[in-house]
Amino acid sequence: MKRTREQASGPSDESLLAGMAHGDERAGLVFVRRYQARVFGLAFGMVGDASLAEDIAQEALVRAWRHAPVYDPRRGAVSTWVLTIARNLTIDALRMRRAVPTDPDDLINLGLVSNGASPEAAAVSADAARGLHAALGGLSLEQRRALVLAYFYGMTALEISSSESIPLGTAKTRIRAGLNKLREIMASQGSPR
Amino acid sequence: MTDYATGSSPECARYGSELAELALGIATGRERAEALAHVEQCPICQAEMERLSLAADSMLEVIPGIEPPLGFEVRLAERLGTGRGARRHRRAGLSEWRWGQRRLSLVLASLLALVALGAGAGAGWLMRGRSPAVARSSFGTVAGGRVVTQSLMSKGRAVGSVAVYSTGRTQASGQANWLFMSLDVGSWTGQASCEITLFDGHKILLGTFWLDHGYGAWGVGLAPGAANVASALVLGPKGVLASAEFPSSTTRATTIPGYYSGAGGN
Repeated sequence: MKRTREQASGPSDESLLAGMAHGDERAGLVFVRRYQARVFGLAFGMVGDASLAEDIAQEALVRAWRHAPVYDPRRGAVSTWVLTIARNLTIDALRMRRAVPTDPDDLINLGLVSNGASPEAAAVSADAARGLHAALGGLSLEQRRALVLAYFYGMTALEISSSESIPLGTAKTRIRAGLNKLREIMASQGSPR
Repeated sequence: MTDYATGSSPECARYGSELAELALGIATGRERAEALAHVEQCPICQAEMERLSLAADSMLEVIPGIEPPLGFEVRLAERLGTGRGARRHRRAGLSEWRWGQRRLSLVLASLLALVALGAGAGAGWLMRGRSPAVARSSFGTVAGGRVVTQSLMSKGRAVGSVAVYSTGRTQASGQANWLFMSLDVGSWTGQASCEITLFDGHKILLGTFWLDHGYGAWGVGLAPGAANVASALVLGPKGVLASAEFPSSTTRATTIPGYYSGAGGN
């Protein structure tokens, strides 16, 4: 598994999860400190509300802690696992509270180097995100919006067609073509994924 | 448009267009169930869906990290503590986490003390199990303020230290007063409280904290004017666990009268 710069000076994510699974509180503390900014940043980017984002981030980290024993490295990187938990919780929270999500354009245009992250975390984030931003930049605006609405807000093709005022077939095409193009661009960039 | 590297069967053609929605997690209803059933038994579509899922998940990497609000870790620890099953496990886990927080505070206080007092005086604060046999007090200045440390005593034996950091200013000005303590007294586990008495005789219950097999470290902000500490008590359910008496010349002044350094015993 590729190690990020954040992990380079400490134990791997997998070993931390293993420690958490065996009740090692210190491993959990390191894990939380490693991921809290990314989890909170994701939730905040999606909901635009610091208080709600904190609730979501905390619940995501609690679940990661409790479910550490069932993490399966064959199914993806730890970072993806944790952030997916946060994403799903955010989608649930938006649905339950009928909250208005941030504009998909705002979400996708979030700066590469932000806003509160430590310089090292920001550098890692920038490294990881630079190629992805380029890949997303290769999509049309409509495809990008469709992907963001689908992935980050859990909107179905039907919901996207309604929110974007387009026919269902068009929404499906944007989703399909957008994701396919993203995959192709990433493959051409030699992404480890 | 040639979309996906799916298989050549009619099912592959039929469900290939559903793979993106499956990978994004937005497929619904019967279509989803049928597409998933096909993917499960078609290795080509399975591999393609895996690639699409990776592409979808990569979008998570685009969102930059933002440091959460202050106190996030503490609030998270509380949530973890309340959610644990066995009470014993919960208490152990929570106290361990709180120890992390308190140790951090303690380290900060210790660094302040070291800056103020020099390594000789500060070392006594940091070392466990090597408490001096007699009470010691020390005082000095740190970044715009003053820190006074005093031994916590129990049955004539030093069992820890308490430090009062004072600036004589208000929290609003960004310079607050603090009290930190650490102690190792007996083997009792439970909630202890800290009460201080000011030189004007006013008593203040500062708060409670956990002792884990006798060991605990704790810090709390002091209101302006509350840094004139004459004595500090650590109280357990059966009475005083440890106490510290501050000499009148140390914490009484809340403004910085000049440069203080060094350590003294009493």
